[in-house]
Amino acid sequence: MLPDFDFAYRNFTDLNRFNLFMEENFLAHQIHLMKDEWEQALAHLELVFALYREHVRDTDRLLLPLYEKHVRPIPEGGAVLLFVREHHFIVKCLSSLMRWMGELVLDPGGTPFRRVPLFEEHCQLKDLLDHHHARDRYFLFKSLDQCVPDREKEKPLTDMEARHRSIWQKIREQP
Amino acid sequence: MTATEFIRIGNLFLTQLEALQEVLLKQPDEAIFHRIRDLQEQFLQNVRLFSKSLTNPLADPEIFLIRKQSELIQQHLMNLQERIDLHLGARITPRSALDLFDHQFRFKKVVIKHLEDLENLTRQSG
Repeated sequence: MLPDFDFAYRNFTDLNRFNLFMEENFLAHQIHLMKDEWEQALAHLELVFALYREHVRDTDRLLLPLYEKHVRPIPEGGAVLLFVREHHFIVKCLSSLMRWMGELVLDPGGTPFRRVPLFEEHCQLKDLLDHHHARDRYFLFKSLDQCVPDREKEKPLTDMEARHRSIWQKIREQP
Repeated sequence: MTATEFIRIGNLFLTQLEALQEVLLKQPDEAIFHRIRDLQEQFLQNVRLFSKSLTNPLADPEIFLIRKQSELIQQHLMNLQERIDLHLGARITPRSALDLFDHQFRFKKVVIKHLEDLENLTRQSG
């Protein structure tokens, strides 16, 4: 059973909760793997993957354009290309884990499974996520809250809220 | 202790640790935490012993680096032991196992780099 989440975003800083929700679900994925509960492990990873792709879409199409438009000067460590580049690595890493997880669920006996190398890959991903989420927290979300006029905040926040909720429901209702 | 001996001990430690980590991720319980603690303690003693043989560090920049790496490893190991003790003071859960594993990951990277540098240095000096 996937956990509940409050998708109401009152400001951009609220998206930190969304990032934490993804981290928590990744941890749940790992714990199910430890217990050989493949289906549940896959469900959590699917949720992380789907939400993460949405986060990338949100950032590229909604947040970074607003950031470039309103935030002056762009803080050091908060350059637009850094966000784009890190997204690329994270999605690549998650895609590879999803492919492997799919193989494991379809063919548990025939898919090699050694925990240590796999969980070390997880460590690299978690370190990258941690680093990236800190960048989101200290530069992107904070600057957007401070610099974007209120009239331009509401639409992206409600758009994200609706799409995040819909993805979560879709994955939760899967048989 | 010679560098060659220490490299052998270090590689053996990494292999033994990986075997214990596989158990840690499969069946996290107090027993495996204790076994890991014992293995790390033994390695800590060996690191200290080898560190004593690294003399005259300022005269040779390469030795200076090795010595600093060795100090870093000792610090990592002491932190890991403390972390294990903290977890042992509470109920062991999959989360505590993952916490330990994640910290070991960073520590192992330092050990691997140290052994590689040491091996290169040994090769250079014949």
